[in-house]
Amino acid sequence: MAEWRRGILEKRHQIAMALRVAYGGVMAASHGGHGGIAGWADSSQPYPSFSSSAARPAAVSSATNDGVSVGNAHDNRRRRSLARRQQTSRRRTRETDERRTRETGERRMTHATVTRDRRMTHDDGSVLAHYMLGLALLQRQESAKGIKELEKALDLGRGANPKGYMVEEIWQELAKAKYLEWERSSSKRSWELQSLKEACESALKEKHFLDYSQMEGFVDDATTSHSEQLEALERVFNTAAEADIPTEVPDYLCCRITLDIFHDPVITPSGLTYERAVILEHLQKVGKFDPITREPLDPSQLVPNLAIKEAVEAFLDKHGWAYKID
Amino acid sequence: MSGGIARGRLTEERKSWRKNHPHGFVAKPETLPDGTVNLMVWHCTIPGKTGTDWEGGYFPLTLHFSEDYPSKPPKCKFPQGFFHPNVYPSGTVCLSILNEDSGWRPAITVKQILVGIQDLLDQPNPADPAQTEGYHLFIQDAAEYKRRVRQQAKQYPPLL
Repeated sequence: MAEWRRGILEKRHQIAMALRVAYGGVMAASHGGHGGIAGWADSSQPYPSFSSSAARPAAVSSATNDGVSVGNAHDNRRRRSLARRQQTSRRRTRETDERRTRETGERRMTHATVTRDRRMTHDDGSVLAHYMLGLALLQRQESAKGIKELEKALDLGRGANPKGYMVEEIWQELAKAKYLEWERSSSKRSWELQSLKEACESALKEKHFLDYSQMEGFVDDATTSHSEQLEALERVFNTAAEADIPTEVPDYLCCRITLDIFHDPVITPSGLTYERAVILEHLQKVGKFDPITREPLDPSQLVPNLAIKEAVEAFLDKHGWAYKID
Repeated sequence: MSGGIARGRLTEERKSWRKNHPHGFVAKPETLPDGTVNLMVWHCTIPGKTGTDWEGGYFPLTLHFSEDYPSKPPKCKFPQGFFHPNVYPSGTVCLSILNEDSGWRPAITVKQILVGIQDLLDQPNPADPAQTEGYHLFIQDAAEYKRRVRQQAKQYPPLL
């Protein structure tokens, strides 16, 4: 009986030892080592499975397959499941740690990428954002705000890529919006001037009628005076309406290449002013020389002609009809 | 972009021409069969100068603009076999202001091109001949040259 008990105790001790060795092997493997039981702590199979008998240590196999009591088998199962749970728990912990490390790294990388991308595409994004917002506001009949947004987009676009198709597109939309705005305000001004003119004419007629009744012997003088006043009034109102009558844009405000009013004028060392996008294209495609004087010219020599730009802005503010694009 | 510049410039040229152009001249972009306008090809008419052998003739000229216009000049063509010392047998005009490497400037307008060609008709440049027949007659037989010019003027009466 004592022998039998001793046999059982030995078996239990062997199982415990085997489990300890197995556990040590798993831990060694999890820390990148190759120690422990051969085939278990192998780097190719770092996480041994206790479910298959092939993967179990010999001691465990012999213990479970021995003809020992059900109680012992139950103990063995409990120990095995405990070991399995511990191992699974450790594996989960390690996987969680790895995932956290990976996610933190990704977060750092994503932040860096976003920062870099934001830095790279900030201008383009802003151009597009202001442009789209401008169009949306114009669609909602908020022309003043819409025009402001388009102007912002145009400034940003010219800074980023003066030759880009987007700049031309923005200018077209802005010109269209400004022309429509001018058309509205021009109609209003025209109507106001006409009303005022009619009021002035009727007031002059009344005055003439009163003067006529008082100046019995000086009819001719009164008539002459009245007609002169009417002519003077006509001149005054014609002058007032002049800004709204479409004429020719002065040559000095037009590019010699596009024949159109300047949008972004630049001056060359030879003293000639061109549209920036056009002269840049000429220098790139045709040759590095001034297209009119044929003197050597480099893009770095182009300087914004602020005086002409201001003159153009002043002209367009006064003569909105010049925004019209056919 | 370059195509945009060329078309934009030609739109301005067309506007400018409509507002004001020299008497007797015609210049209009080609109208395609579907009714659309091709700004890159213009059909023009140059009247012969009054008081010259070319008077009474209204000579058809086609301007072919490239996508690089106005950095590069248009190709100007009279009908094939047109009689003039500075017109190639193909009809292409040989004129300094139409030469990309010498006289062409982007500021030169369609109006200036047509007036320049009108001047060339009665004032050929013997230093730059483009056809044998016209050149030889101009140099060697002035009477025959005049006769041929007047005959050609009759071939191109005004289009009513």
